[in-house]
Amino acid sequence: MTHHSLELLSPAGNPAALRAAIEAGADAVYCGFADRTNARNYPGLNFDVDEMVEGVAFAHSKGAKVLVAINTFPPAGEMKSWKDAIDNAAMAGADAVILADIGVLDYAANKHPNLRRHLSVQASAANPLSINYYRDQFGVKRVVLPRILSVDEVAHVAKETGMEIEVFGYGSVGPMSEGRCFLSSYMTGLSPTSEGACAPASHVTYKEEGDFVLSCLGDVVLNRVAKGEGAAYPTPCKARYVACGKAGYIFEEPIALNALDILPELKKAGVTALKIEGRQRSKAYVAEVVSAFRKALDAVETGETRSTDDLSDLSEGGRQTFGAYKKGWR
Amino acid sequence: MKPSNLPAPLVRGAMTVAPPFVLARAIDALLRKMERAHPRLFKNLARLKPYVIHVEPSDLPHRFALKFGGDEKAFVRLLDPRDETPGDACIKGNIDVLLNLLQGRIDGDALFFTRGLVIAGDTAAVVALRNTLDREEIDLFADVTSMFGPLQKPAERALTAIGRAREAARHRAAEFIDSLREDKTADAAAPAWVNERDALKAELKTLQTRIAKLEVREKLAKGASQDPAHS
Ligand code: SF4
Repeated sequence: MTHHSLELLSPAGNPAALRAAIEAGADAVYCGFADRTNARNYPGLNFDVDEMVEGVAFAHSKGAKVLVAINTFPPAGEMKSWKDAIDNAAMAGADAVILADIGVLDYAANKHPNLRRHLSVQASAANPLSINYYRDQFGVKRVVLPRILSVDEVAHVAKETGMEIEVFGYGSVGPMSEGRCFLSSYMTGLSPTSEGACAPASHVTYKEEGDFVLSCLGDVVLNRVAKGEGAAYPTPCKARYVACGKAGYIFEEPIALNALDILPELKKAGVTALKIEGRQRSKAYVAEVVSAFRKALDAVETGETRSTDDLSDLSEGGRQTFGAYKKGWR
Repeated sequence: MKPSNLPAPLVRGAMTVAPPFVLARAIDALLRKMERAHPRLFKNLARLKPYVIHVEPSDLPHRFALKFGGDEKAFVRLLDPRDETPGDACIKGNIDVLLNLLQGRIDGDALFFTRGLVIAGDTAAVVALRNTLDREEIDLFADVTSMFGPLQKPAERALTAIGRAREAARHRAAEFIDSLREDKTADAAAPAWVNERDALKAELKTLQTRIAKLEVREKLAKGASQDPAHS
């Protein structure tokens, strides 16, 4: 494998997506077990233990890494699934585990000291004091930064912590500090941080109403989308609420983060790895987004200037943003 | 090697003219073929909760019911036009979209964002089906042509030739339409101003949202200054 100074990290919701990602040029993939120990716990998604063992073997044969996300928060008295997930990731030969809960971090650090630990975005650690705490207490090697920091703030964190920094390069954006959002729990009674799914499919319904489609979460109507209008994920933060008599996207517009055009800036800020969001997406999405980023990252390495691929068709609402990287609202 | 595509117009044509009993038997035969080619897919489908999903190709006169889960073997049934029994969920899209989706060649979420695919009913059923299908590498072209047994190779060649002819025709039609668009006297600069107009529209939308947010803030601030209990 050629050395890329920015590691390209792809989602893999299933073994076929893992293979597609690596064939499209990902340096590493992240995935989870098929239970609530990870933040994409949707029906039919994720890996059983045998699939994880095979996935790791396939990735290693191609010189790629596998990072296992065990990034939800265990409820009181129900640690077993999380402990099993750590033990199984270690047994499968995973290159790292991505963790959020301090109890889970402690268990992994003590039971498998040689298994690399990354701090999940779900831990919401966004300043050097907090990140250094995880580094010093649990030997965390890399932090995944929440999507709320500007490029300058990312550079500050990288400088002050000396840690490996992973940031999001493409995919869904949420306006909240991750791991601290209660909107979906409020509407469904199921917590994204311990059940592993924001807007769980079991609570989502769509209804056609003439030329419009209504999307509902539980008994709350989240949106009414007209023909030809880009649709959004049915998450409460992307809902169109009526405030002061006007309907609008109060928290977040249906839009996808796309950092393809600011890769040199992110690299200069000290970023180690670039993460593509979307374990819930298909292998077709994975192949297309990974190959666009592979080409762009290779061009950054060789100093070549080239126009980047258009990913708007794959983007939520058909629109894209630099998100907080280029904060204009502060 | 990139897998070949089943030419959608051919599939559409065949499925439109075939009498229902012939279509039903062809579906049975294809299902049996797929079961042999993808045993893991059928095992994974059986493991799911039991669901019935209605599939309604928008460009075909037929509807289908796909039943899976509950430890039973998945099967597809041609729905009687008078059958009004609802499924747990319903998926609508044109046959090209549905075939590509089945083979994992396009992203379901992207189709949903652009409304190329419409789903209704129990979303958990659709998500479970979509995720289970996406785990497999399905190549309908191979599955269909292998049903021809010893005639597989000629069938592959014939379908590929039809597909190529269709691509060429589509290409010629696109060129013809482009040549009409290239009417210089009309508006040679159209793409540039269209882009600018779209960019301005997007900017306007963002500004409207910002104004709405600021108005809410203003109202809240006014409310707070009038109501000391909220200060
Ligand atoms: S509502 Fe939005 S911000 Fe909150 S957990 Fe869901 S996706 Fe994240």
